[in-house]
Amino acid sequence: MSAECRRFDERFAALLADDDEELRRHLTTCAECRAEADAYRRTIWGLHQLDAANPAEGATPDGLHAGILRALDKPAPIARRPWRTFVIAGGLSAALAAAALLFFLRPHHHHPHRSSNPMPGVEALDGIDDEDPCHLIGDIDDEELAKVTAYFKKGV
Amino acid sequence: MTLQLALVTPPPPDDDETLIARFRGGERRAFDELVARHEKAIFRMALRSLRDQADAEDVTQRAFVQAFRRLDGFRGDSSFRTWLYRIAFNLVVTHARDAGRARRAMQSLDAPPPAAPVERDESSRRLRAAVAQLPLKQRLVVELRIYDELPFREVAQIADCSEDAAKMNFHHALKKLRVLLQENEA
Repeated sequence: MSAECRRFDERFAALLADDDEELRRHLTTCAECRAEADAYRRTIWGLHQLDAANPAEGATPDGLHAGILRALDKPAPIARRPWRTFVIAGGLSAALAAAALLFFLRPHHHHPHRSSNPMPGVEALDGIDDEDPCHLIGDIDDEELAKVTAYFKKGV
Repeated sequence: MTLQLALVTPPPPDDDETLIARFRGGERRAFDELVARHEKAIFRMALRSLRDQADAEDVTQRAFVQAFRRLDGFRGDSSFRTWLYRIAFNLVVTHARDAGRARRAMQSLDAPPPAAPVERDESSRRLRAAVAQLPLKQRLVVELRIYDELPFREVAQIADCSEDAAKMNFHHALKKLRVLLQENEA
């Protein structure tokens, strides 16, 4: 099949509609395409015969019309409420956003130089955060006060 | 004489647009007339595709119920018939996607539906079997064009594709049918 014929081959559907004059002209001059078009028409004809051979398909069941009218009279099922989905999705998104915000705005105790000892030669005291002054605020019992004092004395 | 004729001649039936306007005006019976006008075509389309009378009745009924409930949203971009076909087309596709129903639809061509007469000849049986092997959407395009005699423009609107795509689907389906028929003959 030539390239030109292939171009027409894709237009055989127009044979049904009779709306492709260029295709018709081509068919008068090209025997190969004419044979293709004939096979095309035969298939269509066969499909028509197939439908005609089954008269049962042409009839509608007795109760069809009444059944449809009955179905029309039935109340519509309770419509799903799309706003619910939006509310739930919106709520979840807001909760996630709030959690993310809280995470980023939480009090930040971490300092980049935390790992380095501000007092070289002095070992950090167990239980005392030498970077966190807040640790010393509040009730300090005598034992803890003694520890702190010893810690600073040692450092000095 | 003219008056007498006018009295005995029933008025021509309203077209779909008029019936829709009447229905929107509150006249429920107008929709019943739309049902009466289109139910046969919709049922036939469903039966051809699903090959099961009960399924076809179900799809037809649901198509009209959907149309009834959504008619307020019908903008008239296409004809009512096209719009209704499109609803039914989608229902058929959804229905057939159910594995069991699809299997039944496929098997039916080897065993014709109970109401259908036995195929007259071997070639019809082969052609029917070949049609059943087409992809569902391609089959629907062929059936809408050949049996419902809808123009490609309307077939395209129903199948939600361009007119060229509908033509190409039709073309490929027919080519495939020929190949399948040749294979069945061999």
